Amino acid sequence: MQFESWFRSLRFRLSFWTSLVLITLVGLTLLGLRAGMRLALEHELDLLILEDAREMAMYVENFRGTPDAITEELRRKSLSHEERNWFGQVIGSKGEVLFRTPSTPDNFPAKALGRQGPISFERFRVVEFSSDKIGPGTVRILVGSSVDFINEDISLLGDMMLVAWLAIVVVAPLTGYWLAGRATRPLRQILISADKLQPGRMSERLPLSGAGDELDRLCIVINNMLDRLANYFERQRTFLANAAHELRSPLSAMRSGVEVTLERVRTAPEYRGILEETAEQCSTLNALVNQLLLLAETDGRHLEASTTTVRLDELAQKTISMFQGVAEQYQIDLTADLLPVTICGHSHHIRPVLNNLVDNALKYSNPRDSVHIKVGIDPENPNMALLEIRDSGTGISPEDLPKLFDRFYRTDQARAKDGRRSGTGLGLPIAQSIIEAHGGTIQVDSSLGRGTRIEVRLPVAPVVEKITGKN
Amino acid sequence: MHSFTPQPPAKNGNPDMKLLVIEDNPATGKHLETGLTEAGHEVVWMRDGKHGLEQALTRQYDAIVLDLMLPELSGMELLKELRSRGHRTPVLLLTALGSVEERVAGLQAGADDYMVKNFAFPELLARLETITRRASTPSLVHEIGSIKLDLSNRRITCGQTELQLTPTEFSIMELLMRQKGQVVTRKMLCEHLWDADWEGTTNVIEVHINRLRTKLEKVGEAALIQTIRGRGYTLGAV
Repeated sequence: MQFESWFRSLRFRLSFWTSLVLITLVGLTLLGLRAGMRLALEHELDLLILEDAREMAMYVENFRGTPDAITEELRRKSLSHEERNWFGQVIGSKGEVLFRTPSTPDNFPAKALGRQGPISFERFRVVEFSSDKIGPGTVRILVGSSVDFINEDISLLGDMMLVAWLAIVVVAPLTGYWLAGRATRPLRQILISADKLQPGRMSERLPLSGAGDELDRLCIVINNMLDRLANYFERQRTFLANAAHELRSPLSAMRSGVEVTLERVRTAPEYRGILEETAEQCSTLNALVNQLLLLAETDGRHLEASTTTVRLDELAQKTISMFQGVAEQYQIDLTADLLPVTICGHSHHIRPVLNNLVDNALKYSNPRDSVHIKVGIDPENPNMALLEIRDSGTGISPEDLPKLFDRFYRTDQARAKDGRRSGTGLGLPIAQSIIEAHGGTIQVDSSLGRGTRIEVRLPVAPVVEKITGKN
Repeated sequence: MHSFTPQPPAKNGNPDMKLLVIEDNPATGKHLETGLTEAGHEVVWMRDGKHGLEQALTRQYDAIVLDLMLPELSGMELLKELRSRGHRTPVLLLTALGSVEERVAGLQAGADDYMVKNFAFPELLARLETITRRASTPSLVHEIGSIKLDLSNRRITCGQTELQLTPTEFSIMELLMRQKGQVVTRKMLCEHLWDADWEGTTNVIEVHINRLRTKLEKVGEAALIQTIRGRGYTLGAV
């Protein structure tokens, strides 16, 4: 297991692959170098023996009357170049062998090559030089030389190269591993630091090396993410504490009611009274729990891809009908201007948004104020449905405006327990959570004493989806 | 221990239904048993899915009240098993999970209705009556005292005088009269009138009830609609 994880480590893989590439490249280079060297040496030898052949031709030209001198010259040459197994052969115009050194290999054909360029014969290089100045017809002079010394040189060079290559095979992975270790050391530091991060200790951050490299950028990205997470956890913690606090009030009322009643024997109507009171507290608790569940169901979710579609105008119509009686009771003019528009979503989610917003508008309006609801397509973006709720009510103070969507935040008026403006402080946060889960936005525009305008934008359901989404 | 002397069955509704309650929570189970027995029904209470399924398969019930989270065999598995064996007994699911997805899953598995836990008991009774389909041929005329409500022409009369009601007020009277002798909760009224519940502090029902009372007062029936504190409304004495 340990070995396997080492095997997979970035450090190992980095050094393994770079070493492998380096070793292969060096090996190929050395092989190429050796081949090139051999070609160069052979070419040089070819030039040398061609020179010898020319010399011989001039010699044969000068001493054509004295064959012995020519034989002697050939012998002398073959002797002086003995270590190269030098040999020479002169072919007459009729193809007959005029001269041949004794050092000529026995199996070397006693005739012309029939071509100009140097050729390889066994372990020899042979050239042919033709001259027509020597006598009647063309005389061909062949000179050969062993390539043994080249082979020896190349073999020596090859040995040296092998030693160098083997040294690289050993050194490259070691240095590579060491360098990779150095390069990944900050990464290991990040690993160790990140391993220590706990949801309970959200203040810890990864240290920056200050090099400004990719690893530093990675740390910055991770730290930013940690900031957001810490922020989120803090919000959740506060939310949980607030929720528990809110749940405790009706619970404590129920408990004290029940316990006081149980202190002594009471009459049936008294028992009935306390049970009714408890039932009322249960409804309050239930409403709060339902709001918390709705929030949990929609918070941070993506519901805009939902295949169910609803008519926003029809839902708005139902909400208006629900609150019409209350509006009349408080002498508020509740009017609407609804154009058909279909959005993706479920009435179970969208209705609470409409209900909460209309309820708020009515709560913060006074007699003879008006509340107007508009549903249609956003004139600035045909892909968005626009729901506008405008009231001429009390408006929201600039201090309250930025906190309006904070969970459990209540304005002074909403904090009064029994007033008609009391609330849980969850209506708008729920509306916001649901709207955002559906890919929409909510905007509040208000001035104290003049009223409030709320604009909700929700993506219009694609027409295709409307047809196929009927399964 | 609850009382073994059952109260006389309610005047309206479907008395004498054979009901199977499958619920593992002892408190909820006991209250369901008591409440349904007192409403005049015959109740068998099973505490886990395995025995619940045996019961459901061996005896003919009018309806099954099924909790989703059960030991041994989950409510959803039980429901699927029951339906795959061709049993069409109406099933009312009870669950603590109330998201849209879970409702849809429950109904797709073959449930007839779905109630999220922490419900009002009258609502359970009303829904049971709806799904047993015995109540599916509701009479078009409802009467209480001198008040007569005719659904065929949507008129409501008191003796010879016709009451002039708004559509909302008429619908409230319709539901109250259909459930006469039983409590109708605010939630039931909201859903009946506007297809959605409203739990906010603004009482959207009260204003209509008050107007109805004023109109009923004029024909001498001021006390007809009674408020049951913490629960809802009812017609006449409970």
